[in-house]
Amino acid sequence: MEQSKLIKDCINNNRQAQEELYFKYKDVLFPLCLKYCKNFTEAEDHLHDSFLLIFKKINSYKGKGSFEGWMKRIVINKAIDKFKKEKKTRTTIINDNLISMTDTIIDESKLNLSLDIILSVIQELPKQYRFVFNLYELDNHTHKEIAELLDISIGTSKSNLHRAKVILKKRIENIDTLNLHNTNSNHGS
Amino acid sequence: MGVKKDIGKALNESLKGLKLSPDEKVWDRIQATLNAKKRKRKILFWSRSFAVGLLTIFLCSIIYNSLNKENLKPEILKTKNNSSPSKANKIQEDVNDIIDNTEVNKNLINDQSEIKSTNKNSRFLNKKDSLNYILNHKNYFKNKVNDELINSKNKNLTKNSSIRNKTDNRKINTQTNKNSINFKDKNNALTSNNNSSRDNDFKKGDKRGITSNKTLSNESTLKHGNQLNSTNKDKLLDTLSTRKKIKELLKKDNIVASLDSLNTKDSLSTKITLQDSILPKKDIEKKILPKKESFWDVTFYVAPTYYNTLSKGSTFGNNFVNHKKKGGISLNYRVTFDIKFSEKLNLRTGFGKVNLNYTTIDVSTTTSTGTIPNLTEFDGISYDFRALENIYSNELLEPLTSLNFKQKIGYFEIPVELVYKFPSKKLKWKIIGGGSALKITNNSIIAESSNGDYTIGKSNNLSEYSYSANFGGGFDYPISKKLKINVEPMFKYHLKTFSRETANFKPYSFSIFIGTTYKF
Repeated sequence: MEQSKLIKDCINNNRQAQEELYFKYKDVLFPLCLKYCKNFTEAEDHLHDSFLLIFKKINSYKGKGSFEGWMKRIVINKAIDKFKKEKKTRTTIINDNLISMTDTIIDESKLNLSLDIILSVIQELPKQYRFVFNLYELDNHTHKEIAELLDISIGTSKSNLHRAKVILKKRIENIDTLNLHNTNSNHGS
Repeated sequence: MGVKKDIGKALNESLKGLKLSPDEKVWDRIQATLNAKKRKRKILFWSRSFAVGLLTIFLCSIIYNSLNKENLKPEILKTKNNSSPSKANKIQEDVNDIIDNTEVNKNLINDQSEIKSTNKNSRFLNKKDSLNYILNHKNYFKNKVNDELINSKNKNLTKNSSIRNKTDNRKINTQTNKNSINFKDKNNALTSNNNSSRDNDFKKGDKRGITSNKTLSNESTLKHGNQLNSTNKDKLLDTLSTRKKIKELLKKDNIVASLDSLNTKDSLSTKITLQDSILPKKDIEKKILPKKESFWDVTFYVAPTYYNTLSKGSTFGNNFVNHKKKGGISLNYRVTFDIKFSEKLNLRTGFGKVNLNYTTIDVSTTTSTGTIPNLTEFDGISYDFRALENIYSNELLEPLTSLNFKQKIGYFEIPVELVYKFPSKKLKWKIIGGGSALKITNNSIIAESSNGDYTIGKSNNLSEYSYSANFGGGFDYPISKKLKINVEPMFKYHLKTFSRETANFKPYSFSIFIGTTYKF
């Protein structure tokens, strides 16, 4: 089915068209959900909520720009909305022992890890750090935009990004060291 | 050693190859939620339709009832006036039968023929008839009251009634000539001669100590007294004075009050007939019918209304939270129907047109084209691309980097409020509390620039249906019995205005309703 017809049918609440749209784009949107959520289950829930919103708001898509991009924005904005709701009641305690590290450069060879591990390292970041990192590094937003989206200052956005990178680097290096240690012990035995 | 890279960029490149699929069950869940929402929408639609239907029926019944009451009022009077003469005629006939069988009646006929012979006495004759009629009714009426009072075992009232009867009779006796004693005997004879049920009524009256026969004898005495008077003039004066006296007595008579307490149709109609023969119709309405105040009124309002937010948020979304904003003033209109629960409490409902506006100042726009601002970069707006095309093609906007976005919102409003009125004479102060159901009727966003104002689209996050909690006060100033002026400042806190969370925007409006009330 043509995309414009598919969208039109979805606007008319045609269940078949909605199903087709879901199966067409789920594999595109789900990795995005995984990056913004802390685990697989939460990502599935987020995909569910995002598609409901997409079906609700699909009539506001006027054909300007990429439809896939429009859907991605909905997924990200939905994640931000949830984050801000939680932020009102959440107090995040962040261990700042690592912040003294200023270097966020890493040897590319240390990233020879499975995607699952890399994803889990990002998911384990404190929520605000994860959002700033994802928005800046993976979705190409500026610090000004991030500040507006998350209701934080530009300085906070920059600081959060730096800290996120430091944490990521440290964890990846630790994993690498652990892998190396396991390999050596296997060779020794 | 490999290539050194920033960890952010390195991770971005690594994650580009990420391909993971959600569980198959996710679609089932989505489908289930969509079906539930569909059912919910149906229920909501029917419940709203039902509510609107009920409200319409309610309003129609009020209007119908009030119109009916207006039409019914003269009918009631008419019916009562119609029914009472029939009863009165019956009583009149009864009394005439009795009178026909007595010498008193013969004397009276003679007397009346004498009266007829003079010009003045033609008026007297009418009054005489009227007087007979009154007296008959009064006796009948008193008997009836006493029947009911005795039945209800209201001893005190019975006593009072008896005393009053006696007193009345005494007073009437004083107006008659001294021959009344003879007529008492005659009247007793009359009583014994009549075996009909109506005579029994009179007998009952005797047994109960109610001087129905005595009253009849008074009447007869009065008639006879008139006959015995030597001149018509004297008769006329006598009768008139008697009439006046009876009129006073009737006015003072507590029997009317007793009747009110009994509240029967017969007694009410009798009461009306009784007094109708003496008092002008207007007086009857004033005295007998309780003053009926209308229980509803209609008010037409116009209200300058200020709209703003209690928080720092933006109606357009998160991107605009830190922009300066200003509330706007617009005119609202309302028609309300106040239904009177009591002197102090009214229920108010109706319909209205709510207009609101709100401006976001210095909206930054990127000049991607280099000549005019790019208006299409804001997520919270559904753009009217024809309007934009017109703006772009005609270069209506200068190459500015900032504009003001004015949001105009219109609603159809159905308010339901309770109005508590403080008791006072002239200015009636009141407090108002309730809510409104709002259906969106206007949603537009206007880009304001030094070149002019251009509609660019509409907000895509306004709910079709929303609500407001209303609190206010004010006063009425009556300018006539039917008309009054109202001034009512009112605060409305808007709820469920947005279909998705909008950067903590908490809208409110403040209106000063100025209206004219017409009381039905």
